[in-house]
Amino acid sequence: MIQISGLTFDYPGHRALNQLNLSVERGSVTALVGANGAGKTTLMRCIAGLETPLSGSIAVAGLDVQEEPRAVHRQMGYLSDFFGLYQDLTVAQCLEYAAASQGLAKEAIAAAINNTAQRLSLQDRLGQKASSLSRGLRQRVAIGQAIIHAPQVLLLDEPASGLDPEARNELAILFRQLQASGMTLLVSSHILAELEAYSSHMLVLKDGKILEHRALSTHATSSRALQLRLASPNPRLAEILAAHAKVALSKHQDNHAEFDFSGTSAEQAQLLAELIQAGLAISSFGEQNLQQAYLRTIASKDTK
Amino acid sequence: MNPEFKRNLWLSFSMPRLIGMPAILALIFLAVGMNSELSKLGSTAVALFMGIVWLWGTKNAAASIGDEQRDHTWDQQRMSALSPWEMTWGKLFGATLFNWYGGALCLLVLLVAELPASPNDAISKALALIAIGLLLHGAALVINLQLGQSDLAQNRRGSFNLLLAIPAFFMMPGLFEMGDTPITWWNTPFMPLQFQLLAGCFFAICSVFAAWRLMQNALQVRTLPWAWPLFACLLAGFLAGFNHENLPLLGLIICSVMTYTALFAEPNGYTVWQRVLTRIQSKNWHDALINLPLWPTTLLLSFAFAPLATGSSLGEFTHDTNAPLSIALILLRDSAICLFLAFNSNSKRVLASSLLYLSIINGLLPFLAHSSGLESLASILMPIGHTSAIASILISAIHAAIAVGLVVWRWQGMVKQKG
Repeated sequence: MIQISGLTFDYPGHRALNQLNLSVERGSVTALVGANGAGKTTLMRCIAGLETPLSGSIAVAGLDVQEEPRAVHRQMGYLSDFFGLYQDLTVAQCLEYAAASQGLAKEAIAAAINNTAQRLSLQDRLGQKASSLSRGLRQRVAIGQAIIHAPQVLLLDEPASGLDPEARNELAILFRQLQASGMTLLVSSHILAELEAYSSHMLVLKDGKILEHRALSTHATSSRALQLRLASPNPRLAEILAAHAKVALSKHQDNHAEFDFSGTSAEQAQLLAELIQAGLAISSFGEQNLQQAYLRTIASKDTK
Repeated sequence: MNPEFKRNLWLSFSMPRLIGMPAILALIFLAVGMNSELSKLGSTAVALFMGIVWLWGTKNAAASIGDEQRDHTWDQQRMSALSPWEMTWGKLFGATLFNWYGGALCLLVLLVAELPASPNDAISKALALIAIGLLLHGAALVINLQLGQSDLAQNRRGSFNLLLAIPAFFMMPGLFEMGDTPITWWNTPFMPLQFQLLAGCFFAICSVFAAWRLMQNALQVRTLPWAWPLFACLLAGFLAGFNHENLPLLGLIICSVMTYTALFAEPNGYTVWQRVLTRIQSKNWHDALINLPLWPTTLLLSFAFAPLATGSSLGEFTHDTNAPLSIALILLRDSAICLFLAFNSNSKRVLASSLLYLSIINGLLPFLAHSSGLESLASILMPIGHTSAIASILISAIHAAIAVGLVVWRWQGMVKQKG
């Protein structure tokens, strides 16, 4: 859905993106993670056609962003980290303006407003002015503006910042619904636990380069990052794990280990049974969360 | 309906405002009618039109871009599917619609008051008022779209809109005191009011066209840089209508002014030129031209006008130069100085530094040399006024070569630093 080739972007005195090559699958939800200044926002703005790169090309749904920016915008929604709303317009007017300016047919606009308001639980707020809304509600209206034209690609820069836990959960549910409807999402956030709730892929950026881009798949046959923790330290932990053919140990201490496992779910259950049988007092065993995976990626690339 | 126009309609029209505007205007006209001759109603209507449409409307047109940038809604607009033209006219007429509503009421009073006495003049005056209003609104969009690309802080941009008040005030007295002496333009006599109307229409079209072109850039629709030098030629053609033997010299002067304007208004840093050079290196000439800043186009045009201008005179200007080519060369030198300063990535005040250095080089140093009686040194520092045309050109060429050399040196330093 998104194809990026040799993308380089410079700010005065600083290279924000350096020869990026990337392919984002249709219908995926990609968590865009990285430290401040890693290039996340610049990458999103380049994909959105809001910035002209130094070199490289970006295609969205087969359309070249630099050649046909207006056509690409019809296929795309973008929520900036510093979004704004028209304070003196009502929520309904904000949504109507977004729908009409994205080229929705006049007769389809009312239905689009209702549908979007329903998705974002904004039905009761349609007559309220944007200036009177709370931070969370404003965020929802801004997301509504970005999705009202049912874009194929949705770019969200820090969509959950300032939201309470309940609103974040609702957001995660919405993003899963959007993915289920075939939309491709690229979401940047510092709150990795939140991204984990709906992301299918992780894209790690550091200093304008891609450190890792992989699926966070739970498919039965794919490799996954696992971790285990022992109730009491065991110096043989690494030795026992390393002996298993489908385990690739990445980090270990006497009471904790992180490793990639390339077996099926059944084989994973078998592994757990074998480890217990080997006398390990396992207190927790399971997949690593996104934060651990991210930190591991950063640490391993730093070591290299 | 154009969504941008409709959004502005929602924002600017409410029942109290809809009623308030005619009520207040009616009270003013009533007060004028009761306290002076009825003939004063026409001039009152003109003055009110200028206040409501020219000044207040221009402020609103400027805000239609500035407020979007300030309130972070500009990206949403740039991401919309509206075409640049839809966005331009949506803002141009939407943001100022309430002003046009008040202006229309004023024009109605003007026509009622002056139509019976002189119908042609009344209509010409009304149309000229509309044309100049459009010209100012278009110029407000142009300034704010251009400032949006610049590195100038948001809070400093507002003061640039005050520049528009200058031509507005300059044109105001002209509409009140139109003489009967015809204006000769390209050997054709025009009545002053008629000429003002035609000139107003011409520049209104130019300003709306410029706003549309800049909106294209803002919405990432790529354009080749032909409109800027074309406008320089049109402006030269317009001004040469009053003194058409000096078209090339006028062209040279206009190109110089427009080159300086673009130099100061456009981003001109290392990254901009890196984009251009990357495309040139990959022989992508079309994209290189699209990414090219505007000032080189009028700089090149000035070199085309300079040889043609040799030998022509423009009143007192003849005393200042014997070699128009030296003007183009000094323009090249100044452009290179601005580039040299802009390529310094640590410099945060490129515009202020450029203005300061150019003032010192072009004004202060030659003036000091001249004041000290060192005429030869003054001629070396500012060679445009040199008595010998050949010396003037040679010294200017040396100035330009040194400045271009400095740019190349700094560029190479930047490339090494990046590499």
